[in-house]
Amino acid sequence: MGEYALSVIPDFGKMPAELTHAQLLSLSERMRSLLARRTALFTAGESSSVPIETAQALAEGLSLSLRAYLDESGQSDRLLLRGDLEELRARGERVLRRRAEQSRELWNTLCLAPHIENRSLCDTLRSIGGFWHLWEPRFFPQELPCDIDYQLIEPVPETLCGVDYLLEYLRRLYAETSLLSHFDSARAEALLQRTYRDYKELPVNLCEPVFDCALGLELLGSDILSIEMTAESLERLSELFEPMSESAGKAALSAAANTLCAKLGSSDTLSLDYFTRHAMSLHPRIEASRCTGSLGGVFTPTAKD
Amino acid sequence: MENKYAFTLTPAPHETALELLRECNLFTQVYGLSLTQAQMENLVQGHDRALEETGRVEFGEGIIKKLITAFRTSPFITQENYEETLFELQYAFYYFKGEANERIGDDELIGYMLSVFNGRAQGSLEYLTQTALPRLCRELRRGKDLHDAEAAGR
Repeated sequence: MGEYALSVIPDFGKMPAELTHAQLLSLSERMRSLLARRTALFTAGESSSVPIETAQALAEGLSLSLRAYLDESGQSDRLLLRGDLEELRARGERVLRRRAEQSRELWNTLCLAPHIENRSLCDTLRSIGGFWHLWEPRFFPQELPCDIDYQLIEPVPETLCGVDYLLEYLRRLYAETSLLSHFDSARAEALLQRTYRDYKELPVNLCEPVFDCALGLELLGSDILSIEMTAESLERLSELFEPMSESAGKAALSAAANTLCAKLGSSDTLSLDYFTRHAMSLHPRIEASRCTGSLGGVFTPTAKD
Repeated sequence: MENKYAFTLTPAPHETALELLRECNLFTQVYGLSLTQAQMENLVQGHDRALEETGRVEFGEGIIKKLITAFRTSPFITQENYEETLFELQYAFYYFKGEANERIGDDELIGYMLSVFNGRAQGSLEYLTQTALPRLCRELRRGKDLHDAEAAGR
């Protein structure tokens, strides 16, 4: 007999207590009924069967909507055992639609903001513009119908999907763009030119070299807005890290990132966490570069005259 | 996505499907058609196998009742070929639903199968499943609607 295991409740392990066998059976039956109703709606009642891939995708969509509602409302997962599942799914869909609106506002802001020319960034923003026309929150909210090529300093976790992925991507991109906007664009472009040569055409991140350079200058107590890393500054940075243990080095990087964000007005929780994590992730590269003699691979140096 | 608590979809219980076929016997007997218990069991197993082999999931009571209801009046179906024909039609139905890229509804597909079977196929399952249905699905995949696909598939 053919059997199909469909994933419907990821993270259901968050339940405060284990489900009994009878409760699991009951939940399975309720989910099966809901999936049958959703499938009938999806096929407009014209087909009693669908490919297993479609059923799986519909099940994932249900799961995401239910999870969105439960997380947003702070309700216990046990609500799934007694609540009207179709109603809970519909509420979850509304939660996801609100997130879609938030992401659209962020996207609008990002499109209007001036930014340094880069092909993958332009293509990504253009492609995201089609998301709200192609996204189907009723059936497949987990899908992300756009191409996201532009690389962030820290990628969005793959555990997020659909509009949740998009919203997190745009939040991070906004944090990067905001931070970058505090630097003189000519200086930033000159730094990018030294780092990547063809930063306009290559699929590279625009914020990382600028942030890293400013971070190094902050560690030295120099002018962060100059984003000029001289050979002498690199030498001083190397000396600074030499006596530090790993934890002390990471703490110094973290503290510098915090100060830098504060100076640049990027003190919201997301920006602080995001840039602090990135700053601390530089430590292994700094240590490796120190061993080879120069930190120029981490902090892009100013061009020699 | 994490799959910690997956649930399993199984085809409808066999007893339910057998009961459905017993009900069908009541309204096909007037046409001289009926299924024995062994034939019914064979059809139910064939139904599960057809879904599995064509990679499909079904909700509700399945397609067999609709097929029987549609084909019971066909002059090309006799008591002798009744079970075998149903078996083939059932498999063909699921197979060509997929081949058509889901561009055709259940009732439309059954209607087309019946029309060809009683018409130019003259009861030939081979013509239906190896010529007419593949043509129809090819045209549907090209984006034609059912009416145009039927015309082009002739």
